[in-house]
Amino acid sequence: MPEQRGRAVRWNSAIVLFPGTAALFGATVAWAAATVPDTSTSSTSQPPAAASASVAGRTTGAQAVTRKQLAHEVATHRKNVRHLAHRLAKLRAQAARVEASARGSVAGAPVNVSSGGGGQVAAPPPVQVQPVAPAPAPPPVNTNTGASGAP
Amino acid sequence: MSSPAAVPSAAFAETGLSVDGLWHGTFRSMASPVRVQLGPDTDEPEVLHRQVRALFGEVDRQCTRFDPDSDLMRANAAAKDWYAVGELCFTALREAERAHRRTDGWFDPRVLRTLVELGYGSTLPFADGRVDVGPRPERFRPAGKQWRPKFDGAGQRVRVGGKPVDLGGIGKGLALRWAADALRRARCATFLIDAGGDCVFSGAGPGGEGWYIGVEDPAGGDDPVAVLRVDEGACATSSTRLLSWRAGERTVHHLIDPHTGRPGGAGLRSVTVLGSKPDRAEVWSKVLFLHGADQIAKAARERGLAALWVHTDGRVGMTSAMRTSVIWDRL
Repeated sequence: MPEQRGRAVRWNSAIVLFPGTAALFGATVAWAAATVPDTSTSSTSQPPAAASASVAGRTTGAQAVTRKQLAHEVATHRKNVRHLAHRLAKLRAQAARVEASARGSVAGAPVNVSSGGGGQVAAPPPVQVQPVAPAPAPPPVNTNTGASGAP
Repeated sequence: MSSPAAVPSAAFAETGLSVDGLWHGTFRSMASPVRVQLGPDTDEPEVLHRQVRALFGEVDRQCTRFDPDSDLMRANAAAKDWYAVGELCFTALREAERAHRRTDGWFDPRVLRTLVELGYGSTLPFADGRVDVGPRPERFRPAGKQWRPKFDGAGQRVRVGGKPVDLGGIGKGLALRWAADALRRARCATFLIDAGGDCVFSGAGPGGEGWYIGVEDPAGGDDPVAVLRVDEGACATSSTRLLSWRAGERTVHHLIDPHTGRPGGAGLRSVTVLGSKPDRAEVWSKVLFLHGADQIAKAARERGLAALWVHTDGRVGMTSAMRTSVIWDRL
């Protein structure tokens, strides 16, 4: 009897443990499949150049093309920025001229400008304009219009 | 007119093919240099060039104010009496009267009296530099009420009225229009004719992308203020760059405001207008100029005109209708 009882206990234990083990195994497999290993290095002090050789070795042709395209786009954007900065500088100069002529045309008592409690009005910060490339030359023309009635 | 550096040098030859494949011919008429450019597929370009030249010569002969024997000046002398004029002068006077009505009197050929009083009664050597006609009386008289000339189509006669008229600008525009009509009748599809800064054009130009027209800097710079790309229509500019002179202590110019009898266009140096016909573009460039810097944008927008203007301080303005033709500007 004790032997029969012991066998029953073992079978019961096996029946209980097997599904649990199977579930644990399945969960482990699923976790392993879903988890992406973190390959980042723990040291941030290492200079990028140290890894460049191995990275360059793995660079594919497609990546090189992408990099070239990005470099081209960056160059285009920089050119646009220079052009816009040039236009901005000219517009600011024009605005200054218009403002100056408007001031000149208003002859009268000086205007007091104050804010709130009549404190000092801070002058706007000086605008620094980066030197820019000269504007593109005009395209060739077939003729000119102007000076109507020119002799 | 300054010569843009980028134009092929052959463009200024008397006649012949240039490096861009166009046939070029130049001559002088109506106190202006006239340049004809014809597409490479044009048959007998020399013949067409002679026709254009003859047409300009005939318009000049009938419509000039600098010859007392021209049809126009004889009609002016007849004043309120009927006078028979040539067909071109008759048509030009009719067109001038239409333009006067269409512009609500802003275009008025009767400003001739003011021009004469300011010393511009005969040709002046503007191209030689500064012109000084000496002191002139300050008698600025408005052109008056609406101009109502009378026309007798059957007899090709006109009654100009009590005040003499000038067909200078519109006459040149009409010469361009009639020359373009003649080229089209001869099945010439690609051409550009330029007369002293006003021009008419057709076709896609030498490169197939249209004609490129530089808008001169009225301050006299080498570079244009803008470059337009166009394919069909006309372009005219009213500017004070050349036709300005000293009259005693005053500096005056040829663009007279009929409402005041004085040189108009305060704050502006030039106005360029694109249009379907060169005479109308010429009229509107003048009218917009007379509106002055304060009103030009509003006036141009209300009329739906493609216009570009240069202020006396060098600033450039334009309507959205003009913006579509601008491929380069100096801003």
